[in-house]
Amino acid sequence: MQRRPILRSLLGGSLVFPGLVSELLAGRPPQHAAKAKRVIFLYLTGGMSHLDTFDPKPELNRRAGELIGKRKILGCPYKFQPHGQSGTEISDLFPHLSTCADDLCLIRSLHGDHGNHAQAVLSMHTGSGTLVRPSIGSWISYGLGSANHNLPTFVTIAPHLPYSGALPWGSAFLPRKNSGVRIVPGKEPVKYLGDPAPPSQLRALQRRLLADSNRSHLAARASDPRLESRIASLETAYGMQMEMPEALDLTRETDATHRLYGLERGSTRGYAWQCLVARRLAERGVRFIELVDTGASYNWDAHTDIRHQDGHARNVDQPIAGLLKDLKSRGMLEDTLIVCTTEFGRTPTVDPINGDKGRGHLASAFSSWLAGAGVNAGTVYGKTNDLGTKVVENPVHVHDFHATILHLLGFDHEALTYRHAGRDFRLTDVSGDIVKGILS
Amino acid sequence: MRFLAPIYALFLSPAFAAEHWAFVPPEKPSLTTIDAFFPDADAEEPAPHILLRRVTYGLTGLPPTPGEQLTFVVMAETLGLKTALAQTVDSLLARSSYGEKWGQHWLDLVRYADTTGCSSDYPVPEAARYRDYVIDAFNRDLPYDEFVRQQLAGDLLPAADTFTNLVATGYLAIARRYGTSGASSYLTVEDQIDNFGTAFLGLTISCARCHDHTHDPISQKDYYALYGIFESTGLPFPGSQISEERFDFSRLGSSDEAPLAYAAFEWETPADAKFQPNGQNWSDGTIVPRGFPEILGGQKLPKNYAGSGREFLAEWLLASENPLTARVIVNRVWGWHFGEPIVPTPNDFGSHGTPPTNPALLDYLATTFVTEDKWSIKSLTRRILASAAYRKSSFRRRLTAEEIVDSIKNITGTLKPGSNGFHPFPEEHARYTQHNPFRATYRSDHRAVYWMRGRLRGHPFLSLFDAPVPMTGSGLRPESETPEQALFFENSAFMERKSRELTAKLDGDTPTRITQAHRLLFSRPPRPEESARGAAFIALALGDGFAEEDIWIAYIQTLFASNAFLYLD
Repeated sequence: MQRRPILRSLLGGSLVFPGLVSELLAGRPPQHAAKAKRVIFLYLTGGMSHLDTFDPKPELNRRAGELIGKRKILGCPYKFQPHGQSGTEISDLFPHLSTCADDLCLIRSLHGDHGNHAQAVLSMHTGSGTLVRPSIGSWISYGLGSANHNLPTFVTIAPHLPYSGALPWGSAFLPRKNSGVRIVPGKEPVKYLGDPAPPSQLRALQRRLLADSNRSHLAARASDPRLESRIASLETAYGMQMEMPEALDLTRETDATHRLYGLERGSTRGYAWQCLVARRLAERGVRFIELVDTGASYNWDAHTDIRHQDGHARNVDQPIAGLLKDLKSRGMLEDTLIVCTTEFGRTPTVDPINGDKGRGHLASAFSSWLAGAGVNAGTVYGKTNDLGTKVVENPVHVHDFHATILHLLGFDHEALTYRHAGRDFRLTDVSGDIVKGILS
Repeated sequence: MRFLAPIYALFLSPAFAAEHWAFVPPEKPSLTTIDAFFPDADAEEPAPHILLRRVTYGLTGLPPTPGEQLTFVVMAETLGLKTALAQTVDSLLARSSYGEKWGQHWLDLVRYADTTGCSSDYPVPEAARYRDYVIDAFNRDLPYDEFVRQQLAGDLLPAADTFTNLVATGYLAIARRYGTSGASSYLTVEDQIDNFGTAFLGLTISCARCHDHTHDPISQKDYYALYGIFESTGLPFPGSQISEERFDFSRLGSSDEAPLAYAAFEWETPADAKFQPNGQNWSDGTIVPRGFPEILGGQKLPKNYAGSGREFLAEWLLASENPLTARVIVNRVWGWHFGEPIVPTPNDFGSHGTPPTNPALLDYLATTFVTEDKWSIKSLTRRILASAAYRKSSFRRRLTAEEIVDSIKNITGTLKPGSNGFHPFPEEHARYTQHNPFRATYRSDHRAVYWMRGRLRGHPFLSLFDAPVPMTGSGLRPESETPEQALFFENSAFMERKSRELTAKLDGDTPTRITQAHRLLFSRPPRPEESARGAAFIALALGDGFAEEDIWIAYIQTLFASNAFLYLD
């Protein structure tokens, strides 16, 4: 019975080509010391109303019903209060997040160029509303490279497709390994990830056969980075099949942690699941984790009734606060940058096509916040006018916002470029200034 | 930026223009064969099976059959590799699969999609006629100059074949629509100029919308001279969130019942464009006469010309003085055969592009393409493929997304021939909005060139293997190697199904089946070590108690996942 060892010897022993993977997954050298090693990008889809969340305008309630042109001013149904030592005013839509007010660096002076969802969402993600450009997550993945060869560098947890489909996490002309891998709740969290059970004996044989065929294919040819890179991608895929299910397995998280995020044990629903998974991916070296709260419908786009935002705030409030507290207690907030943003703000007046209780789109002013690595915690930056329609102090354009995020990761937004079609492209196109006032 | 103006002026000087190679008209070199441009080439002829696989995929996007493999080896032995190849090329060029492969190259370039790209990404059933036109144009070897004329000005040409000519202007009609209104606006004109510049001229003209081009001699005036031509061209309204009512489609025939075409037409009052100093859709009132960029001849329309001038635009493009048009297309054709074009940036021949690796060869191809090949892509192809340079090139590329899925179906005998015609879009009153955009994926067992492509989304499977999202024209397919692709081969239901189908087709003993599988997937018989490995795999798995059918399915699936299947040499 000597047959089996001989047969075994025909299929080589190792699946791994030493050194191949690490070389192929390196990033770019940083341009200065980085404050952040990773980003968690909290995306609130549909245009969260700054007037009802982070930018109090008492004038709205004083002048409610008054006409501006043909449109009536809509009062704000929420109460604002100062929170924490910083006294940052946040509305009662976010009772949990308000307890983290001293960790937030709130920007009330963002402005963008697009008033429709598809373009504004793209612009917030890629710097361009009209062309196919790499996502900010792809730029950061490209810049930082991989810290864990068994997981992608850029992950998007998006139960529903947002406006502009998958373009918000696409890598465009950057190498495809920098595009976001989408995770959804359910049986197949990553497309084609397959059965989380350990591979069967047959699968193990298959992988060895494949490694052998590729090895002899490569050996018969002059060295070619594409062939090597393909072989490395197989290794990453095998690693991902082992490590991704483990990263997504919340059973070993304590009851206390579940409570902190407001997550029912065993549930994969809502932002609570997304936030807890994000922390686990962050721990495992993923560089850019985006959490898209809702899709292209049933989101923050409150045209008919501003109170439709209540449910969307409830979905994200405790989970985000839980994430901030959890990261802090694990010492990870120091080198993680948290970004919470949306595509635009909303008008102080009602949207007349849709009744008299909702607000329209407003690209000229909106709010977002940063927390964690390198930002001025417990501060408010920028100011809008009395009705919140225009920025009157310290404007932050979307390009400035992006430039600042790259800065915190150690990259000069003008120097992190990629040559494509004869031109050096960058996330911030031809403009963008670092917002020094929000850096710690 | 104003202080930079003198520097622009310097770039725009005639001296600069004369220095940049692409603006100097090509001259016919004294050398008369492609191989004369590679004096130092001393590589060996490849094995016949390597060459047959390369050329069959290159021309048809499908693998050679086992029968074709045997015939080719015999032909190569008796007639020599060069003659065997020439005969095979003739037969491949005569297949309809040629147009299906080469049509895809063009459709990439013109960012073909079946939806508009507005916020609700409305579907346009009639766009598919343009797709079929492109495939057919390659199959019947429509000369390239005629191909250009028909796409830019088919509606204005003397009516030899009105149906074809009108459908060809689908090139203009498929320009992207924007926003919730989905009406054609200045953004659509900008998209047209951008695509016109990159596809036909290999120039990034669109930079000149807001300022004189910073590194190429295209001024803002040049931009608005073209702008007037496109702005004077009417496009159909295909529906959007704001209005479901479609209008301005052309009838393909005189009756009211004649089928509709997504085609361009002339506005009743064509006009020169107003200059927009900052490209911000605001004008200072200056009128820019419709015309062609100065550096390329600067031709203008006749005074008070009562049409958009697209027929003139096509002629300016094709004029013998134009240094770019022929160079740009022969460079693409070379690149589509070799994997690497002579000018490595096929959509940018400007000063930020990469200069040609072999300028004399480029000029040889550009001049003979016009004078000897008479703009025939098939003649150019025969010329290129007859060269030793093609046979001996150190060629390697991965199969494209379409080639992967088409070959898997072809090998398993499940690929349907021909076009699937219009897509099965929902018939009536489908209300798509930015919140509920149109986003279907339709199953089709026809070749992937016929699959429905969404403008904003591309096709989910095809993009996994690098098919471009058709928002901007793509001149070169990138090749990525990602773990998700590996997972597709290992875990998708599609691969399992196709491997099962092929397993059912194989017969004979183990060595015979292994040989059949290698011929079908790798276009050659197995090497001894491959046969041994295959037999060892089968025997080991049988010893582990797995069912024979499952083992063969696993074996086939592994061959599909291997680099020997995925890469061409």
